[in-house]
Parts: sequence; structure tokens; C-alpha cells
Amino acid sequence: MSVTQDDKELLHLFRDLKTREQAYTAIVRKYQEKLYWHIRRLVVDHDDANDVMQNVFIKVWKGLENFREDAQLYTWLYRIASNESITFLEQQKRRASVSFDDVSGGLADKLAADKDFDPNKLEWKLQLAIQQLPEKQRIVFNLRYYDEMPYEEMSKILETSEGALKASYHHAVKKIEDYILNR
Amino acid sequence: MPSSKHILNELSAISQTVANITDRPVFTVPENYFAQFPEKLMSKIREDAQYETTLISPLLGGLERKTPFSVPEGYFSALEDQLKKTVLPAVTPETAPVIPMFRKRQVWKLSVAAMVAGIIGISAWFYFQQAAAPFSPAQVNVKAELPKVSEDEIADFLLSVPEMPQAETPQVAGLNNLNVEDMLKDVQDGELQDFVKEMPDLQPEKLN
Repeated sequence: MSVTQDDKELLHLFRDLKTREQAYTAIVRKYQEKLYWHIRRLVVDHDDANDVMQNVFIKVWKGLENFREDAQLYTWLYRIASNESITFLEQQKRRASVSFDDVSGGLADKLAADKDFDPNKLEWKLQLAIQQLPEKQRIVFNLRYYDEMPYEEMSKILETSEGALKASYHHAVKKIEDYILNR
Repeated sequence: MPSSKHILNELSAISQTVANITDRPVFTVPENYFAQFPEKLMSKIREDAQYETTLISPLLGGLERKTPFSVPEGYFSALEDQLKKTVLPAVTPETAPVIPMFRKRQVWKLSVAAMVAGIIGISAWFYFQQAAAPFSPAQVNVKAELPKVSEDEIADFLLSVPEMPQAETPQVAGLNNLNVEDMLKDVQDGELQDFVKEMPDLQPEKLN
């Protein structure tokens, strides 16, 4: 499926130097919240999410002219956001020089640092459960559960087969349910 | 055409023309459409993320899809301006003019010059190779040169060369193994006698 008509127009405007900045601003405005929440659910902390957002939109600015339009624009944006989030988490891991399990513990600490954190509330328990998942499985769960993304689109973002994504989502849900019921 | 008499009567009262139109269907329906419709519909429903989650875990499926994180007030409206200040200047610096190290035309000229030099060099090498070897055995014109060689020189040459053993090639081995009678069975006696007369060395008195 190729880009929507609106996105086509924005891309066309972007490719014209005179209207590039306006087109870019329009794209930022259109997709910022969706991308922000996708990133935030992965990195947890707002300041970290903001940093990742900046990196994402720098890459968008640099790469948009060569965007091939063989997929939806948002698919491409989501792919950049997912990759940047994973890169950010990997850098954190290296800086902390700890194992992955400790990083997820670090994310749980960041959750606890949120001013509205309440471990007795189900929605916070859900977030704690999500942070226990491996990175990629966390992305699969978030895209399906929160963004209700079709597997076909997810497959293009994560470059994984639909079958593998369905299985991953199934396991993620089961793990989360087990965490919520038993902790 | 309406099946109800009441409706038909009403229609006839308004327009007999319309009432007379038979209920011949004009739209076609793909074959098996209705038989397949429920299953296709269920496939679509199962694709729904929320329903899928509910099937796997009714607990999770029943939760409100809400992320509890807080966002600073005005963040999204400020993000646009923030990006303009930080992203745009960061990725569009004033670019200096780019001067290529190798202009295409110069590269082309250099390539042609290198080719010509190579051809001249190789030709010169071959020429000097031939000059060092004034002749090769293959180039000698035997017919022209042979009369210049005396009979004594030829005899001396033949004596100096050791008798070359007959190479046992498959062809020679094959010949040796041939039965002469078989070879000559088709040759007439008269032809054989003529052949012998022509070869003085093969006269019977000389062979014996």
C-alpha cells in the first residue's frame, strides 16, 4: 500500500525547496503525538523520549527526500522511531555496563519515578509487566495493543513475518497476564 | 414487482407503467457470495486487535488502553518550535562549494593517454623481442635454404643425430598390430606388381 494522498502532497511540498520547511513542520505536527507515545512506552522517561524524538526527526529531515513511497509514510516513521528507541536503550545498557535484566529494572525504576505512579493501579502494573518483556517483543505488544496496528503494517516496520509477530504478541499477552495475576 | 397486492394496487394507481415492470434482477451477485460472507466477516473481526487480545486474555482485553505517563503541559505545541531551532539549523549548515578532485574530462583524457602509452609500450616490446631472435625455425623457408646445404653437410647431420626410436603412439601401435593381409585384401595383384616395379628397393632379388 503506498502513501495516502495527504502524505503524497506533503512529500511533494517537501521536495520543493521553497516549501520544504512548511511541509516538514506539517509532518511533525501530524505524527508527533503518535511517535512520541510509541517512543515513550519504550524508554519510559519523558526527557529520554524527547531526546529520541529529536533524533528521529533529524533522520526524517535528512532521509525524507529519498523516501521511496513504496510504503506508508507512517510505517517509515515508525520504523525510524523503533530503531532509534532500541539504539537509545542499547546505549543506556552500555553506559550502565549492566545486563539486560538490570536495564529493565532501571526502566521499572523510571516508572516508579513518575509523579502519578501507583503500583496498586492496574494500568501501572501493566506498564511494569511490559517493561519485563524483551525489547522487540515490547515493541510488538505496544504496536498491537495501543496502536492496534495490523500485522501487515507491523511486518514492514519490524521486518519480521506476520506469523512470527502474531506468535510474539500471543506470548507477550500471556506473560503480562501472568505478571499481573501473580505479583 | 412487489409481491404484496396492496402495494401493487397502490403502485398501479400512481403509475401503471411502473407497476408493469417485471422484477427481473439487474444486479449480479458473485457466485457463492452469501455462502462465504459470514466466514470473511469473522476473519475481519478476528483481525481486530482488541478482540484478539480479549481472546488471548480477557483480563487484558478488558483493560482501558491508556498509558498512565504524564507529559509536561504544552509539550507538543512547543515541540515544533524546538525542532525548528535545533533540528533545522543543525542539518542545514551553510555548505561550502564542492570542488571535485578529479574532473570527469581530465579523467577521460588521462585514460586515453594511458591506453595509447600502453599500446606503444607493448608494440615496442614485441618489436624488440623479434629483433633479438632474428629467425625462428618456423620462419625458415626450407625449399629456398636446402639447395645451399651440401650433401656432405646433410650426411654429417644425419650421422650426428641419434636414431630416433619409433614412438609407440596409439596410431603406431595400431599400425603394428594390423594384419597386412587384411590391409591388402582389396588391392589387385596387378596393382601390387606395378607398385613394386616403381620401387627399385622393393625388387624381390633385393629383399631376399
